[in-house]
Amino acid sequence: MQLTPNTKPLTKTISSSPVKTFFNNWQLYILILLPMIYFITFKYVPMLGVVVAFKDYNVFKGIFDSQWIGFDAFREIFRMDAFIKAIRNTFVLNLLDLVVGFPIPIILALLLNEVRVKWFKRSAQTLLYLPHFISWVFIGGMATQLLATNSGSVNIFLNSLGFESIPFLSDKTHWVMTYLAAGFWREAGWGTILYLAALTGINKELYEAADVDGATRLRKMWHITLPGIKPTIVILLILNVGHMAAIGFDRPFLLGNPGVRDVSEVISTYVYTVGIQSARYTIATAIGLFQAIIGLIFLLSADFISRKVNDQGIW
Amino acid sequence: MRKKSQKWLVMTAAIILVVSIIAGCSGKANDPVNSPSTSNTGSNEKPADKPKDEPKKDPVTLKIELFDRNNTPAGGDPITNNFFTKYVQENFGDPNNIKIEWVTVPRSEEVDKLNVLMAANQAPDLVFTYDTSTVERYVRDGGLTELGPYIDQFGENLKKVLNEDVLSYGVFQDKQYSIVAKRVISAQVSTFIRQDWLDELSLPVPTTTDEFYDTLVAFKKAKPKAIAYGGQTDFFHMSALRYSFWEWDKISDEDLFANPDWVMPGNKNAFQFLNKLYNEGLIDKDFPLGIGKDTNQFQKNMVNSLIGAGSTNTNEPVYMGYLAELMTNDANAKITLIDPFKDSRGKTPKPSYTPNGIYIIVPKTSQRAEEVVKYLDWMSKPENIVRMQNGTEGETFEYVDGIPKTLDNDAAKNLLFNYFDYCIILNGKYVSNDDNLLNIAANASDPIYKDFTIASIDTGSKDGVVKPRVLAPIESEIKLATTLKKKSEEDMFVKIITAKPEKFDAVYEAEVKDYMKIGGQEVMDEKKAKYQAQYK
Repeated sequence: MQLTPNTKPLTKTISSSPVKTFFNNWQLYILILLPMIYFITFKYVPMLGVVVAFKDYNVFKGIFDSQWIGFDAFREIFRMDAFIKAIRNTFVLNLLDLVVGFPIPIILALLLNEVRVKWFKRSAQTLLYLPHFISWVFIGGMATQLLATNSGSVNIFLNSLGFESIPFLSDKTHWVMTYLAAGFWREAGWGTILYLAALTGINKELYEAADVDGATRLRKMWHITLPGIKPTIVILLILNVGHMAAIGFDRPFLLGNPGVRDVSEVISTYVYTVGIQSARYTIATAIGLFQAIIGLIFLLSADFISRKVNDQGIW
Repeated sequence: MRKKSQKWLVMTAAIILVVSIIAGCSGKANDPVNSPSTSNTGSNEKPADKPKDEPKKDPVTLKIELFDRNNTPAGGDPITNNFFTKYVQENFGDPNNIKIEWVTVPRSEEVDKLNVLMAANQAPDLVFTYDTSTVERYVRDGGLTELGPYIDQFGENLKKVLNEDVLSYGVFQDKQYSIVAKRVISAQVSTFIRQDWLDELSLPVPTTTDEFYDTLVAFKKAKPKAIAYGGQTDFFHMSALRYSFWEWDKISDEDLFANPDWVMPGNKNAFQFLNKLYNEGLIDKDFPLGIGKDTNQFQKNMVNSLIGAGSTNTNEPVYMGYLAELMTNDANAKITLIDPFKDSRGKTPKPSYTPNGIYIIVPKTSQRAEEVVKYLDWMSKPENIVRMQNGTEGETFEYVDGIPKTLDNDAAKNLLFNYFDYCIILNGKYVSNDDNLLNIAANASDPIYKDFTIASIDTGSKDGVVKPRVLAPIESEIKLATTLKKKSEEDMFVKIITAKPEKFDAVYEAEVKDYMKIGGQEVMDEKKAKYQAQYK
């Protein structure tokens, strides 16, 4: 039996006391120190800063000497139309990203999985996930160069064919599409990696059996591949739903412009406007805290649904 | 065997990690940058008690903010290591045992970056901003060093250049918290037109807004690829046009001080006109993309002969060098300055600058207030002003009738594109404390474009309007100014101009209402109260 060689070290670890285990593997504990220091300094210590949301924060006096103001900041943010609009935009953009963007990596992974020529598959994969490494700053600049109404290359090309210019960046509807497309272009290839990994876990015998039964490629995809990666799909979907309230700063900020601010101002860019540009740190912190609470609610409910559907939580 | 080598690997990794963490931490403890912020004593208030630095000591570091405009020419030296920085180090730094360090800040994000630096206690010793309410906020929050005593002690030359009048703009809560740069030229914005295009179409130089409009239509028809009115299309540079639509006989001094531009009688017509220009394709369809960001799109278009007319900072095409570039690209190009935006009285009202320019301030955490004032005082000496604004005689400039004239060569082009960011006590070239005509002549320093400069200053200052001044700080404005400014200069400006013509009225009314709601009304009420308190 294969089990016998494994049981020996296992029993040894269990039998020794926790203190002894610690000293036996002290090198490993030291190795985990660095990530722990990282999380404590950059993720936990800054959490103390949320008290700023309840104080009239004066940068020169510091957090402790500033006056307490209770929930005044929260009362103020809920009176701001721009804040409500930022929440709405955050949800709308995230929802569109999810609804339209979520299936794209799955489809790409399925297609790549069907490619039999190895070099083509590999180079296609690399080309697809390369954009992930381009920063949004750069993509923002490219978008302006390519898509501007007068001077953008795409519109110059369209004009030379006799078509009207398309206001990719200055019209609200077009901007949302540009925003989504840029996101898919950058992230879709990267998203396929997880699915491709899941695909390799599917038992080859199932395909052979299907071949014997005379199943077509589409049939095999539908009855074997998709069910095979279903758990991955569900987990990723739930994780994405959990992140509905959070939105990156770079993408809406760098692609956006004052002409489309009605749809491009999201929570993160609004915090920037209020906190950094207007130096109203209290208000900005209150908004950030509020966003975190919404995010927590989403994440907990996603976890709850996951336990019902998948029999396993996110953590 | 394999197990053992694995263990060794883990152990080595662990040891390397521990050592590097310890090294990293101890390195930080010795870091001189962090130490001044912790020990901020009252010694800033009493400069006389400070011991004089012995020349033998290690040099002290003086950190100076420097705008990065992202416009260094291809052949130019980096802005933190060029003639100016070396001149400052050699002639001011070395004799006083000071090491100068330049801290660059992107021009278009100056206030944001300053806020972050101030909040993090990492601001340079000498910082500056054009934004009055930011300075007032720092004063209110107690974040600035009072400079009065230092100026009295070390600022003799400085006082000569910045007279009482200019310095008074730096007084907040009865104390000199800021040193204010002197503005040599009060003109803000000037408008130019391509004379060769007018000649080509046999059109006259437009002298009224209607004629200007007709000219733009003709430009558009003749040159469909060009942008007929394509200067910097933003709130600030459209001021002459906006002011010309206001009904001045209905505007009192109090209104001019307290009311936001949006509620001035006639302002709506100005935006209706801009809206018309936009919808007829006479201004750049892409103008929203450039607002609040560092795009040099206008300059590129200008250089490529794609601009028919445009409004820019007065004399900017000369001192930023793109007029010269246009002339190199297109030998036939000819530029005329115009002033077509006439109001109902036949005048051409436009905002003028007050005699103060940028606010120079020293954060409370800095221990170098003395050195900052010494530096500015050194800069105020006439011989240093000349060098800091013109470079080296024979290389980048020569004297003509006692006034420095820029030479037409690459050395000058590669150096002088941002001299004003070093010579911060002056906005505009400066040669005389007494005779402003000499100063105007000095600003026409490029002999080829002398006429352009003089006409630019003339048209940019004709019928200039200065808003009244009230000394009391406006509390609501300190809180809301940035939000309102962004709302007005970015969101409203773009939204109203790009609205469909049939929806214009609705959009304008809704936006102005929103502006008043988010704080415009509050600021206006307080300003009215403070104005009446001062003048009645």
